[in-house]
Amino acid sequence: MLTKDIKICNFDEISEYENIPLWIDELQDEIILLRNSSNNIKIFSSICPHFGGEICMKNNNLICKWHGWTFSSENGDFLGYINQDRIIKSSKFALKEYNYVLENDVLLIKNENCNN
Amino acid sequence: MKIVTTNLKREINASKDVCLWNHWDHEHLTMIHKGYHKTNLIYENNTVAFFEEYVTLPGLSFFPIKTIVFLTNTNNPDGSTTVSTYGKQLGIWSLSEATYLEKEEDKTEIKLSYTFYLTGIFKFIPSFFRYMSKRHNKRAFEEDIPLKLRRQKVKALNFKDFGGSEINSEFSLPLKKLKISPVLQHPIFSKKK
Repeated sequence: MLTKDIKICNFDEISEYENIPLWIDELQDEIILLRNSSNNIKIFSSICPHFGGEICMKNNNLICKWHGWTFSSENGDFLGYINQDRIIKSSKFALKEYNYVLENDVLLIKNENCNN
Repeated sequence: MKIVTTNLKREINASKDVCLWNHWDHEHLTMIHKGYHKTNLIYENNTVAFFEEYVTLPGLSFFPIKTIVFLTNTNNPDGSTTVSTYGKQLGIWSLSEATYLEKEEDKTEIKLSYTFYLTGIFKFIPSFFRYMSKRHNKRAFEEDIPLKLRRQKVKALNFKDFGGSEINSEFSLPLKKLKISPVLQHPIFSKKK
Protein backbone atom coordinates (compact mmCIF):
# COMPACT_ATOMS: atom_id res chain seq x y z
CA MET A 1 0.00 0.00 0.00
CA LEU A 2 1.33 3.41 -0.93
CA THR A 3 1.53 5.95 1.86
CA LYS A 4 1.70 9.04 -0.31
CA ASP A 5 1.02 10.13 -3.86
CA ILE A 6 3.82 9.66 -6.35
CA LYS A 7 4.72 12.42 -8.74
CA ILE A 8 5.41 11.08 -12.22
CA CYS A 9 5.90 14.32 -14.14
CA ASN A 10 4.45 17.72 -14.88
CA PHE A 11 1.60 17.86 -17.37
CA ASP A 12 3.68 19.71 -19.98
CA GLU A 13 6.40 17.02 -19.71
CA ILE A 14 4.14 14.06 -20.45
CA SER A 15 5.26 13.66 -24.05
CA GLU A 16 8.87 13.29 -22.83
CA TYR A 17 7.86 10.41 -20.58
CA GLU A 18 5.62 8.57 -23.03
CA ASN A 19 6.57 5.00 -23.93
CA ILE A 20 9.73 5.04 -21.81
CA PRO A 21 9.96 2.48 -18.99
CA LEU A 22 10.40 4.24 -15.68
CA TRP A 23 11.40 2.52 -12.44
CA ILE A 24 9.41 3.76 -9.42
CA ASP A 25 10.97 2.90 -6.07
CA GLU A 26 7.79 3.47 -4.09
CA LEU A 27 5.87 1.00 -6.25
CA GLN A 28 8.78 -1.43 -6.57
CA ASP A 29 7.65 -1.57 -10.16
CA GLU A 30 8.58 -0.30 -13.58
CA ILE A 31 5.85 1.66 -15.34
CA ILE A 32 5.07 2.81 -18.85
CA LEU A 33 3.06 5.95 -19.52
CA LEU A 34 1.31 6.10 -22.86
CA ARG A 35 -1.50 7.52 -24.91
CA ASN A 36 -3.80 4.76 -26.13
CA SER A 37 -5.78 4.72 -29.38
CA SER A 38 -8.49 6.87 -27.73
CA ASN A 39 -5.76 9.43 -26.90
CA ASN A 40 -6.23 8.81 -23.19
CA ILE A 41 -3.19 8.78 -20.94
CA LYS A 42 -2.70 5.40 -19.31
CA ILE A 43 -0.11 4.06 -16.88
CA PHE A 44 0.68 0.35 -16.74
CA SER A 45 3.35 -1.81 -15.18
CA SER A 46 5.96 -2.48 -17.87
CA ILE A 47 7.04 -5.77 -16.31
CA CYS A 48 5.40 -8.54 -18.29
CA PRO A 49 3.52 -10.96 -16.02
CA HIS A 50 4.80 -13.85 -18.15
CA PHE A 51 8.53 -13.83 -17.31
CA GLY A 52 9.29 -10.19 -16.50
CA GLY A 53 10.17 -8.93 -19.98
CA GLU A 54 10.00 -5.27 -20.98
CA ILE A 55 6.71 -3.96 -22.30
CA CYS A 56 6.64 -1.46 -25.15
CA MET A 57 3.95 0.24 -27.22
CA LYS A 58 3.50 -1.07 -30.76
CA ASN A 59 0.58 -0.66 -33.16
CA ASN A 60 -1.67 0.62 -30.37
CA ASN A 61 -1.03 -2.46 -28.25
CA LEU A 62 1.40 -3.20 -25.46
CA ILE A 63 3.87 -5.88 -26.48
CA CYS A 64 6.49 -7.80 -24.49
CA LYS A 65 9.83 -7.52 -26.28
CA TRP A 66 10.91 -10.99 -25.13
CA HIS A 67 8.06 -13.29 -26.11
CA GLY A 68 5.46 -11.17 -27.89
CA TRP A 69 2.78 -11.33 -25.24
CA THR A 70 0.28 -8.66 -26.31
CA PHE A 71 -1.93 -6.54 -24.07
CA SER A 72 -4.72 -4.03 -24.62
CA SER A 73 -3.66 -0.41 -24.18
CA GLU A 74 -7.22 0.30 -23.01
CA ASN A 75 -7.24 -1.86 -19.89
CA GLY A 76 -4.08 -4.05 -19.93
CA ASP A 77 -5.95 -7.27 -20.73
CA PHE A 78 -3.92 -10.09 -22.27
CA LEU A 79 -4.75 -10.54 -25.97
CA GLY A 80 -2.48 -13.43 -26.97
CA TYR A 81 0.84 -13.49 -28.82
CA ILE A 82 1.98 -10.93 -31.37
CA ASN A 83 1.02 -11.77 -34.97
CA GLN A 84 -1.30 -14.52 -33.78
CA ASP A 85 -4.62 -14.63 -35.59
CA ARG A 86 -6.64 -15.65 -32.56
CA ILE A 87 -7.20 -13.07 -29.90
CA ILE A 88 -7.55 -14.51 -26.40
CA LYS A 89 -9.07 -11.80 -24.30
CA SER A 90 -8.19 -12.53 -20.73
CA SER A 91 -7.78 -10.45 -17.62
CA LYS A 92 -6.06 -13.38 -15.88
CA PHE A 93 -2.65 -12.27 -17.15
CA ALA A 94 -3.43 -8.54 -17.44
CA LEU A 95 -0.83 -5.85 -16.96
CA LYS A 96 -1.23 -3.97 -13.72
CA GLU A 97 -2.79 -0.56 -14.39
CA TYR A 98 -2.13 2.44 -12.16
CA ASN A 99 -4.78 5.12 -11.70
CA TYR A 100 -3.57 8.68 -11.66
CA VAL A 101 -4.80 12.22 -11.15
CA LEU A 102 -3.71 15.58 -12.45
CA GLU A 103 -3.32 18.00 -9.58
CA ASN A 104 -1.97 21.49 -10.25
CA ASP A 105 -0.64 20.31 -13.59
CA VAL A 106 1.23 17.46 -11.95
CA LEU A 107 0.58 13.82 -12.87
CA LEU A 108 0.31 11.77 -9.69
CA ILE A 109 -0.21 8.11 -9.01
CA LYS A 110 -2.55 8.12 -6.07
CA ASN A 111 -2.12 5.93 -3.08
CA GLU A 112 -4.36 2.88 -2.62
CA ASN A 113 -5.69 3.06 -6.18
CA CYS A 114 -3.86 0.46 -8.07
CA ASN A 115 -5.98 -1.84 -10.21
CA ASN A 116 -5.73 -5.62 -10.54
CA MET B 1 35.52 -36.42 -41.73
CA LYS B 2 37.09 -33.28 -40.31
CA ILE B 3 36.29 -32.16 -36.77
CA VAL B 4 36.44 -28.45 -36.02
CA THR B 5 36.14 -27.16 -32.47
CA THR B 6 35.99 -23.56 -31.26
CA ASN B 7 36.26 -22.76 -27.54
CA LEU B 8 35.17 -19.46 -26.00
CA LYS B 9 34.72 -18.07 -22.50
CA ARG B 10 32.32 -15.39 -21.27
CA GLU B 11 31.21 -13.85 -17.98
CA ILE B 12 27.94 -12.26 -16.98
CA ASN B 13 26.69 -10.55 -13.83
CA ALA B 14 23.83 -12.95 -13.34
CA SER B 15 23.31 -16.15 -11.41
CA LYS B 16 23.68 -19.58 -12.99
CA ASP B 17 19.92 -20.15 -12.66
CA VAL B 18 19.21 -16.93 -14.53
CA CYS B 19 21.54 -18.05 -17.34
CA LEU B 20 19.85 -21.44 -17.50
CA TRP B 21 16.42 -19.81 -17.44
CA ASN B 22 17.46 -17.77 -20.46
CA HIS B 23 19.04 -20.75 -22.26
CA TRP B 24 15.98 -22.97 -21.86
CA ASP B 25 13.53 -20.21 -22.77
CA HIS B 26 12.84 -21.36 -26.34
CA GLU B 27 10.11 -18.75 -26.76
CA HIS B 28 12.51 -15.80 -26.82
CA LEU B 29 14.61 -17.02 -29.77
CA THR B 30 12.56 -15.57 -32.63
CA MET B 31 11.79 -12.34 -30.78
CA ILE B 32 15.34 -11.51 -29.67
CA HIS B 33 17.85 -13.25 -31.91
CA LYS B 34 18.46 -12.29 -35.50
CA GLY B 35 18.39 -15.25 -37.86
CA TYR B 36 15.88 -17.31 -35.84
CA HIS B 37 12.62 -17.57 -37.73
CA LYS B 38 10.63 -20.36 -36.14
CA THR B 39 10.96 -22.84 -33.31
CA ASN B 40 8.72 -25.90 -32.99
CA LEU B 41 9.05 -28.00 -29.87
CA ILE B 42 8.50 -31.69 -30.47
CA TYR B 43 9.20 -33.00 -26.99
CA GLU B 44 10.61 -31.77 -23.68
CA ASN B 45 10.84 -32.90 -20.10
CA ASN B 46 12.87 -31.89 -17.03
CA THR B 47 16.26 -32.64 -18.61
CA VAL B 48 15.90 -32.64 -22.41
CA ALA B 49 14.18 -30.84 -25.27
CA PHE B 50 13.79 -31.91 -28.88
CA PHE B 51 12.79 -29.33 -31.45
CA GLU B 52 13.17 -28.06 -34.96
CA GLU B 53 14.14 -24.50 -35.74
CA TYR B 54 14.44 -22.46 -38.89
CA VAL B 55 17.52 -20.25 -38.96
CA THR B 56 19.35 -18.15 -41.52
CA LEU B 57 23.03 -17.34 -41.79
CA PRO B 58 24.16 -13.70 -41.85
CA GLY B 59 23.78 -12.37 -45.39
CA LEU B 60 21.57 -15.29 -46.43
CA SER B 61 18.29 -14.28 -44.80
CA PHE B 62 16.34 -15.44 -47.88
CA PHE B 63 17.42 -19.04 -47.27
CA PRO B 64 16.11 -20.49 -43.99
CA ILE B 65 17.81 -23.71 -42.93
CA LYS B 66 15.85 -26.30 -40.99
CA THR B 67 17.82 -27.57 -38.00
CA ILE B 68 16.91 -30.52 -35.83
CA VAL B 69 18.02 -29.85 -32.27
CA PHE B 70 18.31 -32.00 -29.16
CA LEU B 71 19.10 -30.21 -25.92
CA THR B 72 20.25 -31.80 -22.65
CA ASN B 73 20.79 -30.35 -19.18
CA THR B 74 23.49 -31.99 -17.04
CA ASN B 75 24.50 -31.00 -13.52
CA ASN B 76 28.23 -31.53 -12.94
CA PRO B 77 30.00 -32.52 -9.67
CA ASP B 78 31.72 -29.09 -9.41
CA GLY B 79 28.34 -27.32 -9.24
CA SER B 80 28.34 -26.24 -12.85
CA THR B 81 25.63 -27.14 -15.34
CA THR B 82 26.22 -28.03 -18.98
CA VAL B 83 23.64 -27.49 -21.67
CA SER B 84 24.55 -29.62 -24.69
CA THR B 85 22.98 -28.91 -28.04
CA TYR B 86 23.13 -31.68 -30.63
CA GLY B 87 22.14 -30.45 -34.07
CA LYS B 88 22.06 -31.38 -37.71
CA GLN B 89 21.84 -28.77 -40.42
CA LEU B 90 22.64 -29.10 -44.15
CA GLY B 91 23.75 -32.65 -43.39
CA ILE B 92 26.33 -31.47 -40.86
CA TRP B 93 26.28 -32.75 -37.31
CA SER B 94 27.20 -30.29 -34.60
CA LEU B 95 27.56 -30.28 -30.84
CA SER B 96 27.53 -27.05 -28.84
CA GLU B 97 28.18 -27.14 -25.14
CA ALA B 98 27.65 -24.27 -22.72
CA THR B 99 28.89 -24.85 -19.17
CA TYR B 100 27.64 -22.41 -16.56
CA LEU B 101 29.60 -22.05 -13.32
CA GLU B 102 28.62 -19.47 -10.71
CA LYS B 103 32.02 -18.10 -9.67
CA GLU B 104 30.58 -15.82 -7.01
CA GLU B 105 27.09 -14.69 -6.08
CA ASP B 106 25.25 -13.58 -9.21
CA LYS B 107 28.34 -13.80 -11.38
CA THR B 108 28.61 -16.68 -13.81
CA GLU B 109 31.38 -17.96 -16.05
CA ILE B 110 30.24 -19.52 -19.30
CA LYS B 111 32.54 -21.91 -21.16
CA LEU B 112 31.42 -22.59 -24.71
CA SER B 113 32.52 -25.23 -27.12
CA TYR B 114 31.25 -25.48 -30.70
CA THR B 115 32.13 -28.64 -32.64
CA PHE B 116 31.24 -29.41 -36.25
CA TYR B 117 31.69 -32.81 -37.88
CA LEU B 118 32.43 -31.87 -41.46
CA THR B 119 32.03 -34.16 -44.44
CA GLY B 120 31.97 -33.68 -48.23
CA ILE B 121 32.90 -30.26 -49.55
CA PHE B 122 32.53 -28.77 -46.07
CA LYS B 123 35.77 -30.52 -45.04
CA PHE B 124 37.65 -27.95 -47.09
CA ILE B 125 36.27 -24.87 -45.32
CA PRO B 126 36.88 -25.46 -41.59
CA SER B 127 37.89 -21.83 -41.10
CA PHE B 128 34.41 -20.76 -42.23
CA PHE B 129 32.87 -22.79 -39.39
CA ARG B 130 35.33 -21.37 -36.85
CA TYR B 131 34.49 -17.86 -38.04
CA MET B 132 30.75 -18.51 -37.96
CA SER B 133 30.93 -20.01 -34.45
CA LYS B 134 32.68 -16.92 -33.09
CA ARG B 135 30.38 -14.55 -34.95
CA HIS B 136 27.23 -16.39 -33.89
CA ASN B 137 28.34 -16.51 -30.26
CA LYS B 138 29.27 -12.82 -30.15
CA ARG B 139 25.93 -11.78 -31.58
CA ALA B 140 23.79 -14.16 -29.53
CA PHE B 141 25.66 -13.32 -26.30
CA GLU B 142 25.27 -9.57 -26.85
CA GLU B 143 21.59 -9.90 -27.75
CA ASP B 144 21.02 -11.89 -24.54
CA ILE B 145 22.86 -9.57 -22.12
CA PRO B 146 19.90 -7.23 -21.47
CA LEU B 147 17.60 -10.21 -20.96
CA LYS B 148 19.88 -11.89 -18.46
CA LEU B 149 20.40 -8.67 -16.52
CA ARG B 150 16.68 -7.96 -16.44
CA ARG B 151 15.90 -11.53 -15.42
CA GLN B 152 18.39 -11.03 -12.59
CA LYS B 153 16.62 -7.80 -11.64
CA VAL B 154 13.10 -9.26 -11.56
CA LYS B 155 14.42 -12.25 -9.64
CA ALA B 156 15.70 -9.84 -6.99
CA LEU B 157 12.21 -8.31 -6.87
CA ASN B 158 10.76 -11.73 -5.97
CA PHE B 159 8.84 -11.63 -9.22
CA LYS B 160 6.18 -14.31 -9.62
CA ASP B 161 5.67 -15.55 -13.15
CA PHE B 162 2.28 -16.05 -14.82
CA GLY B 163 1.97 -19.50 -13.29
CA GLY B 164 2.42 -18.07 -9.79
CA SER B 165 5.95 -19.44 -9.30
CA GLU B 166 8.61 -17.31 -7.68
CA ILE B 167 11.57 -16.95 -10.00
CA ASN B 168 13.68 -17.03 -6.85
CA SER B 169 12.76 -20.60 -6.18
CA GLU B 170 14.90 -23.45 -7.46
CA PHE B 171 15.29 -23.57 -11.23
CA SER B 172 13.39 -26.42 -12.84
CA LEU B 173 12.52 -27.60 -16.32
CA PRO B 174 10.55 -27.50 -18.46
CA LEU B 175 9.61 -23.83 -18.27
CA LYS B 176 5.88 -23.23 -18.16
CA LYS B 177 4.20 -22.19 -21.39
CA LEU B 178 0.69 -21.31 -22.45
CA LYS B 179 -0.98 -23.83 -24.77
CA ILE B 180 -1.27 -21.10 -27.40
CA SER B 181 2.51 -20.48 -27.37
CA PRO B 182 3.87 -20.36 -30.95
CA VAL B 183 6.54 -22.92 -30.01
CA LEU B 184 3.94 -25.54 -29.02
CA GLN B 185 2.07 -25.80 -32.29
CA HIS B 186 3.90 -28.76 -33.83
CA PRO B 187 1.35 -31.60 -34.37
CA ILE B 188 3.53 -34.17 -32.58
CA PHE B 189 3.85 -32.00 -29.49
CA SER B 190 0.12 -31.26 -29.52
CA LYS B 191 -0.64 -34.95 -29.87
CA LYS B 192 1.52 -35.90 -26.89
CA LYS B 193 -0.22 -33.31 -24.75
